[in-house]
Amino acid sequence: MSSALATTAVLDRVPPSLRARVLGLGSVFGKAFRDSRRTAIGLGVVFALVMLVTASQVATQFATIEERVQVAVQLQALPAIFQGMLGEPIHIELMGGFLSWRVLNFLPVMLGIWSIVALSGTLAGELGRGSMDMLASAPVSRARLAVQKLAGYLAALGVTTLILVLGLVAAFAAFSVLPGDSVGLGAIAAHAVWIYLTILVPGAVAFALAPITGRNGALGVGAIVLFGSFVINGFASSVSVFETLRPLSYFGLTAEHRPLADRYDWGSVGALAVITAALLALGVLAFARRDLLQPSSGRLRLPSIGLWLREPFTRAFGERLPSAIVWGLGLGLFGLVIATSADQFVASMGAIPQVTQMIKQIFPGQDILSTGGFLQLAFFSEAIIVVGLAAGGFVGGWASDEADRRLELILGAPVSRARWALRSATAVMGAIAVMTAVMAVGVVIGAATQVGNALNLLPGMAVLGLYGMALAGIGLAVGGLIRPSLAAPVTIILGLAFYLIDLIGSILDLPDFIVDLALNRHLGRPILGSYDDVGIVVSVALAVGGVILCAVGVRRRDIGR
Amino acid sequence: MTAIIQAEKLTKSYGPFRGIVDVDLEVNQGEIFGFLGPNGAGKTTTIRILLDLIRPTSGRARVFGIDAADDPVQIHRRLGYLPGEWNLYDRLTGMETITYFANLRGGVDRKYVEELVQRLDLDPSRRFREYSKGNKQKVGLICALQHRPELLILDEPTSGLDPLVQQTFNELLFEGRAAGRTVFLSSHIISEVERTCDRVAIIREGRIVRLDTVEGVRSLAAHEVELRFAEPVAAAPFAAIEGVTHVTEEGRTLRMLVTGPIAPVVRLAGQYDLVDFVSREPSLEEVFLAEYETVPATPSTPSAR
Repeated sequence: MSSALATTAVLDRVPPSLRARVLGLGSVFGKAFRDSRRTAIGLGVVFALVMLVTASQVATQFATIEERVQVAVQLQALPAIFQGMLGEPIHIELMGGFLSWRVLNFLPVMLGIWSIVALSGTLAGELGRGSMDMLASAPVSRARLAVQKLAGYLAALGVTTLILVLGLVAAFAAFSVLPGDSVGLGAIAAHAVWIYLTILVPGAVAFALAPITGRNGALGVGAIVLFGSFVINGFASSVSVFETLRPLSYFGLTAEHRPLADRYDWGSVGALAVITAALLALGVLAFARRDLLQPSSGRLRLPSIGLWLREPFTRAFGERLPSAIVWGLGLGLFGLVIATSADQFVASMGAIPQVTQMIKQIFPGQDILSTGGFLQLAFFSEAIIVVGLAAGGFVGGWASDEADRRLELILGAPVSRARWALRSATAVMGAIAVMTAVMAVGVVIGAATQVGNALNLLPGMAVLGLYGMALAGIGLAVGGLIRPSLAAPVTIILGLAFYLIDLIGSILDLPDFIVDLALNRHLGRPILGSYDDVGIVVSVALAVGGVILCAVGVRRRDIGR
Repeated sequence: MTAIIQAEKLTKSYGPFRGIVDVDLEVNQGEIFGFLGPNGAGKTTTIRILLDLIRPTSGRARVFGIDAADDPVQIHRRLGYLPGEWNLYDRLTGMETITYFANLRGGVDRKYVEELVQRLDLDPSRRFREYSKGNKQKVGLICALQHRPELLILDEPTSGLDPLVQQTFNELLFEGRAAGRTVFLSSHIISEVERTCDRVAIIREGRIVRLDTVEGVRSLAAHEVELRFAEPVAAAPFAAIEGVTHVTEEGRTLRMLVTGPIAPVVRLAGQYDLVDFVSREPSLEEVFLAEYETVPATPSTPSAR
């Protein structure tokens, strides 16, 4: 009887097409790839355009070999701390070397965030959503399910890398104006292998941990691995602790593999590939063997007090508070390490008269060779990215009230839409304030070992927090006026875009109206006590105005978009 | 009779929390088996072990004679499952969702899918997130039914469905049974189980406390008996009969609960001037509630879910 039933079902079935299996809803792989394809193509196109624009600017701004050599010498003469955290400049007088150093060395950080978000949620996201039980009841083994979902992301990342490769090919074809600028397809491909792997590494860490810690824990550890590795490698020459830790950084490990600058180190790339593969295999095994339950770890627990249940502000604030403390601790630790290393920096810079002279020319009237100066250069300018990501995370949490349909229940109580929006959005700002305060404690403790009155640094920390609030304000306004699902992406993308514009805008002589779009360029050097008043007023207006616009939007539009 | 589901001493603990304890079950081919219990009794835990979504702390679960942990894919190939709490992909339409789950099974008979869509009155063109709770449930039911599985495991399947759709759902179950398919239906809606199931197990605090046919469970429970006499009759002789409890006297009427054979009561009543005799069989709901009104069967351990 059973076999007769089964035979009937088999005879009538219409199997999915090959196209559906690869690109659509015909398989777990197909759906995973389908879900990521827009992001993959979008990111690939954006960064391919960045490569084209950068290459065109290099070709026009530095059109002769003399100009190239001059700028290369100037950049190489700068201590690493003034070069950004981009590692050793290798053959930057050539197009390949310049693109590799100025843009491609930072690309794995930008896209690494995507990798962490995607791979931490590949399986944990299904569990969190509640779709895993139905998916896992299909006749697909758990290991195969995990491998297919993973392969979907790997293919999507492959598409992004491929588009980037095409952008590079086009950039070299169109803008190689000097001898040595041309780079062969082999070198581009070899460089792309490194890019692909370094984007994947933090995501692989998150993927391995997600079945055990849940998505939040995996996101956090992945982010620490990404930013930790980048910072350690970038500041290794300035901070002795980082120099010691450099072999642990995957950016440090593969620093000698820069095929676009004609330098190869396949051994390190191979080692990284093996580590990454092992992490991914670990994630698959962990998923296949464990019970399909939501892990309860991975989130800081708050004491259960009535305050969190009192009204929308305290509820939303209580929801965001654990993440705010964790983000603050991470930033505070970074600040602490930087601040306690300030004396080494000051001593090493002060020992070279030419460097001292150059610094005085670049930063007239400002005491860069000090703890504050070091913090401004090494901490403030980099913490900006993390603050933007944190703001995006808080705004995403705010949006989830509506996306997960909790808001409908809340608004079923006698709470007006505007009141909920104002209070819950204010709670986002409150979370950023807490994060800033926790971060400031770390920085001040570190600085106290170097200077008498470390509290002077606090206004600078406050400006950093204000920047995060301004970004959050924009995200909240978009979420309130248009739809909540846009709120977090807008916040995060703006934060990264501002950083990128600031990073490459001036050196490529991009038009002022583009470079000035970056809000982080308008904050002054607040840790040194130098403020850009207009920028700060604009930031306050964005933060406050964002909350108000959010309330206006939520009051007017349909709920549950 | 072929056993489709077999659970032997199945136990699952979630750390300090109790899941299920020593669950023994056997579900045979072609029957609709009801699994009754209140929230947190262990119904979902049992089902998730059968599907190998979680693994037992001890004991064995076999489906189609295959150990659930040994070859879950082989088991999943032949069953359809609707979880109790679930959600799917917001951006896919109802039909895309159904198609995706069909494809994961290597494809299904599309005409049958269309028939199910029609019978359950679903508009498959809308995005999943736009559906009401009942319509989402219809999508889940179609996903579970579309490949005509040999075994259907349904956890609270009628949650959110209107009475008309519930009726259609029952028809689908009966058609499946007529075709030799097996249904394992977990629910806390007793009337639904009573209406549709052949056999029923009652789970309480993680343990199976009753397992029989619906009729059997009811017959084992106390009948409510009312005897009306021409003249007042003493209650004591009736209360002395084995299986008779709760005897009350009201003028010329005696009321009592009778568990087990009713003949001794009838014989004794016949010795008096009996005017009327009413015996009411208890509903499954009454049996269930009576089961839960008694003292706890085991030392209480907090439940996990």
